[in-house]
Amino acid sequence: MNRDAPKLVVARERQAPLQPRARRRYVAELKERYREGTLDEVLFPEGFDVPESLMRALFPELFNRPEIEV
Amino acid sequence: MAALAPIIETTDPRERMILEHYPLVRTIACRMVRRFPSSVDVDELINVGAMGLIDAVDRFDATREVPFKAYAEIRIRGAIVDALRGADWVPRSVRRKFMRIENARVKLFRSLGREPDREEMAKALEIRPEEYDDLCGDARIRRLVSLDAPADEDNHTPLSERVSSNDEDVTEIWARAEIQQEVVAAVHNLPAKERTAVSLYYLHGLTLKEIGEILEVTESRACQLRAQGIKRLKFRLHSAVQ
Repeated sequence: MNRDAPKLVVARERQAPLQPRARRRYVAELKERYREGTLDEVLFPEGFDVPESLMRALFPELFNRPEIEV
Repeated sequence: MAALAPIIETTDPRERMILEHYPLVRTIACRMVRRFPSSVDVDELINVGAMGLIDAVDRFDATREVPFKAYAEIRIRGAIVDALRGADWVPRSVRRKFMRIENARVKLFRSLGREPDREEMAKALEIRPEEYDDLCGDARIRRLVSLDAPADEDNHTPLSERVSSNDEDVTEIWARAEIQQEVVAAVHNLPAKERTAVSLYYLHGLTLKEIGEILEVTESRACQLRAQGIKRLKFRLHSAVQ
């Protein structure tokens, strides 16, 4: 492993807003889109990266080891 | 754009679909080329990406409830990665090690009904626990991020200007991109409600209660859909590499 190589940072996930009012609005919008059948358009934005949390759930042996850089 | 419109209107539906989505090929090729050494020509990526788009148009199944754009993006990326792999620019050793571990883990998970620990994994692979640690280290997969992102919190230099282009870095980045591509394809192929539950939970960070509200099901049903989705993804990802 090249120790001089820069460490890649964990990509920021597309998280719902934490502020309660904004979050309620966010959920309501997603619900509306689900009813319209257009939810997939916002679920999978162009070029999205698979979130780290999902990689951990799918490949726990590799991603949950503390000595492994992610 | 105005000049393109008459051309699109005069072609048959297949050609029209290809022309309408052709800009997507350029976007993806330009994004991918930044992750590879300067010897990789973006025009070559666009050419093979266009073949992926044509393939997507010919194979697209509208009944699967997957947006064409998302499907086409997967096929375009796949065509580009396949072309790069075919050129033998990067060895597959990282991916092989990763898959060796993952295959053993899935087999143990099925027989034990839970995640295996380090010792069980080492025994299944017929190696010592220390060797298993080394194997995990060799198969290490780093998070692939946009190379336009700052390299760290204190430095605003984009990663693209800091990542070296030696073969080892490229190998790791490529292996990560390949696995990510397989995950994205598997998520897209999940049944609609499972796909939604998994995506809202992991991609958008919603709670199960909020997911239940969106899908108009109970919280426990939302939990069940997410769990089923993950189980199905694990199975499909394992099957895909067999």
